[in-house]
Amino acid sequence: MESTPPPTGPAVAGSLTLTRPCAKCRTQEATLDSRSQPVCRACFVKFISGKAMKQIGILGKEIPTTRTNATRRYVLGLSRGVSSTVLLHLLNENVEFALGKARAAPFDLTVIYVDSSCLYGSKNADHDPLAPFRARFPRFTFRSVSIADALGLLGIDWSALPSVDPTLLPEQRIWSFFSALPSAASRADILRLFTRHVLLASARSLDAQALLLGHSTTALAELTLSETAKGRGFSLPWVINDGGVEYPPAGSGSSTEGEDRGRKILVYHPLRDALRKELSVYMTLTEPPLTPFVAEGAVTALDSAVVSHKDLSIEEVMFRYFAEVEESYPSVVANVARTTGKLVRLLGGEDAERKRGCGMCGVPLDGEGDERWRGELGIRGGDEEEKTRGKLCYGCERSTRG
Amino acid sequence: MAPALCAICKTARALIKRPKNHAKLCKGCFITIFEDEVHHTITSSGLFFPGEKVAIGASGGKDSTVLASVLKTLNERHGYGLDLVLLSIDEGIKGYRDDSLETVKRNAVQYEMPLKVVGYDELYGWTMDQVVETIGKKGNCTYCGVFRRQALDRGAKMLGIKHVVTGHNADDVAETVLMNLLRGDLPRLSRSTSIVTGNNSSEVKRSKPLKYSYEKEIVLYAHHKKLDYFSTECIYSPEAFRGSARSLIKQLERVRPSAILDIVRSGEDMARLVPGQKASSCECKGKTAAPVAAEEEGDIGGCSSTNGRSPGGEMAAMDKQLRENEEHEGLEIDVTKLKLNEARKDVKEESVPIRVANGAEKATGGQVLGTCKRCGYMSSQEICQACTLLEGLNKNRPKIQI
Amino acid sequence: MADVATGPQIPISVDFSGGLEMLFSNQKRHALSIAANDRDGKPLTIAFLIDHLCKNLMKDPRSDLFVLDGHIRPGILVLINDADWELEGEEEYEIKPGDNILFVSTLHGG
Repeated sequence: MESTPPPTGPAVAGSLTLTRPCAKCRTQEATLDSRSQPVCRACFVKFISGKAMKQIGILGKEIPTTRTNATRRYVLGLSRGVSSTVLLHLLNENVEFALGKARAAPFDLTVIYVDSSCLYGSKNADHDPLAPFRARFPRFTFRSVSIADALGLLGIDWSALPSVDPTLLPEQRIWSFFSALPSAASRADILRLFTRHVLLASARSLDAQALLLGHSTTALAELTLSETAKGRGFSLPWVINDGGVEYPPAGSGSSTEGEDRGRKILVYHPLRDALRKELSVYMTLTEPPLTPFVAEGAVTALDSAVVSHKDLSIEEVMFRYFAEVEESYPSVVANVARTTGKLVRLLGGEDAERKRGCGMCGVPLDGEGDERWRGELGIRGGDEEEKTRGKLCYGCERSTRG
Repeated sequence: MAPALCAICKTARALIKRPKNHAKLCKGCFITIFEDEVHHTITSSGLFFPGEKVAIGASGGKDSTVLASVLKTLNERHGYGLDLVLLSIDEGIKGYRDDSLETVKRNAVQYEMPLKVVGYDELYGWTMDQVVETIGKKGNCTYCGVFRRQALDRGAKMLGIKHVVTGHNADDVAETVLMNLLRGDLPRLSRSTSIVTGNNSSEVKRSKPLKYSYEKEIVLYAHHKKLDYFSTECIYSPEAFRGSARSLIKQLERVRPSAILDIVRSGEDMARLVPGQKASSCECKGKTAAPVAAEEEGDIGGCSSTNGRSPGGEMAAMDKQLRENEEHEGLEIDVTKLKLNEARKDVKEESVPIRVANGAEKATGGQVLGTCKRCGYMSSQEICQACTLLEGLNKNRPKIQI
Repeated sequence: MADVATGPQIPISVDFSGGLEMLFSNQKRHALSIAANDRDGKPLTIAFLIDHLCKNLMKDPRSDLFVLDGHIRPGILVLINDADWELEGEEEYEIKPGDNILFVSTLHGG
């Protein structure tokens, strides 16, 4: 994306010698290409942060502060990848901007990192992956939460999932659960769902009104097609679009009152209008650059050479596909998430059982779709074991049982 | 390793591993279950009525050859009482159709079905060879696809037949779902998954009995039944499938074989999430599948079942138009105000003049079909696409011929 | 054929269909004699055969229509003695004398 190296000598801005003026300000030399336009560094930075600020502003309006509810409390899911790191930086700027104008901070932020290293056997107790983040963003609270916490969450109906030896320690239990899954595609899928659960549960326990996720427009497009390929077309509006979800989902074992009562949490994607490659560039332009913060390997996300072609996940196939599409057709990528935005969230059926939702992803069960599909394909009703256990949606059933 | 035995008969050696459920089957049991499933699709959606005259769109390729073979078998086995006819289109491409038409002629003898061949020259006054001579190779697949769509209808009408079945398989439907997500075309997405297209007022309805059949199983069925089919790339679309939605589908299939049917399922479910969509009743309950308006639906691409296999040009045009819209309206427009209809219109006019400008609102609930003022065939425009393309061609003819 | 490895040769037949024959001199069946062991003395696998076919038998320059990223192109079926290669260990299958290997494309126009 970096087209020409930044001018080295004294700035030539303002003179008539601009060889490639920035298409936005017209006064600076363009050093970057943004959506087919030459732009200068300052305008590019403004462009990206403007997109994020607009979304953060929309979210702020959703949560009016009142006398009883004086502060907005947000949770940010940090993967240590490019997008969530950039979002963290932009949220910090947003707070600094308000404080600089002698206003109150617009929100309290807790940053949650979901640690899944126990699944890879690379647990390093001495190493705190969040230390550099704490140092750079001292204003915010950082927490690392283990993916094994998913085992105790009310939002997940473990009776619907393959059983694991209850005598094991949590991290061993979650490891054995994952290693028993049918494929790499299943593992990647369920890891994503559990991560989301842990984040939502953290937001719930912190009494936060919103969970912020770093997905770029490219990531949302990938997610749209990935979920479609996993048979979760019905869930797309719940997953891709900004909006409220009840957590823990109604009927998921949560009581109607008290601590574990379900509460609405707004899930927002403030970077939904920025392309992944734009965030990769942005990351290098902040002062100082965010590059060293991004976890090893997260910049290119996947090393194509090391993975056997059959052990790819659906997400990885989509990642590769969209890397090509984003390069050549950025507007097509941007249009995918907008299109999904037009789909409506449906409740699958009238009765309470359907409203209860899938035991794993939590999206309402699509009774009508299930019935229709069984009819079309001539699938007979499930066996006795299937009837007694908790219910999963079509896509989650596929991921857990192949 | 010891050869696996068939999961059904438990006696013969398994030769097939089914993509949809990993079942290992012997040749005989595979052929039986493949036919049984198509039979189920036909009966559960009430596709035919006794005594109905049905034209099989026959290209000599694997899909239509398998369709003809299976329909003949099922018609005899289950007493459908159908009067089956092979209907073939001759695009007028020297060296391409010659061999495949020979295949269709042999099929007509093998399956004891009458054959009707309709040429582009007699329908439109142009062979594809002449079209390419006039406009060049770029974009000629569009002409071919638009002409073919009407050609089948016109051919059927000539024969006094009101129902054309085509060999579209699950891979084709899945590809259309993904392409329409990339295009942002929700109305077409919701139509493309429907098994019957063409509405009550149209003279010819179309259906795809192999909608749930994997392309892989179609090829295996043809192989194990030793069917006589012909395969070639159209000489005017030599572009490989790299980066296309087709290639994406095949990669997903390798990672998780069920993904193709899972995409079909997603597409069917998403059709119910399109705003303004009538809540569809379960089709398997009604006696007859409700046909969905799909004139000029465009899911028949350049070659009989190769929609989207050369999306380079189309993606580029989509991208360009979307980008222009962004510039006009600013990226930060409200999703609901997106003038996607206009986008679609312009995109199509520029590159792929398939289905021009339908108001999204009215299109979702079913289009208003009229007839073309020139040729009298069903169209949602005053002038149908074929006539629009012909007008352009005829204007160019004198120039070229000088 | 320019095989570096010497030693015992095994006879096999390789078939191409579904349009793939176009990449191999428009010939559907090829009777081949091929070294039973590769250069490292390991038995001949399908993976090795695929590489061998690309290097020695394919006359068409468009090898990416057959092999993509080092593996058989997704959408091409491989049958070993009429059985789906997924039942036989895929690329790891060790070829035996008299085996018939069929490559059939599902990608071509239907």
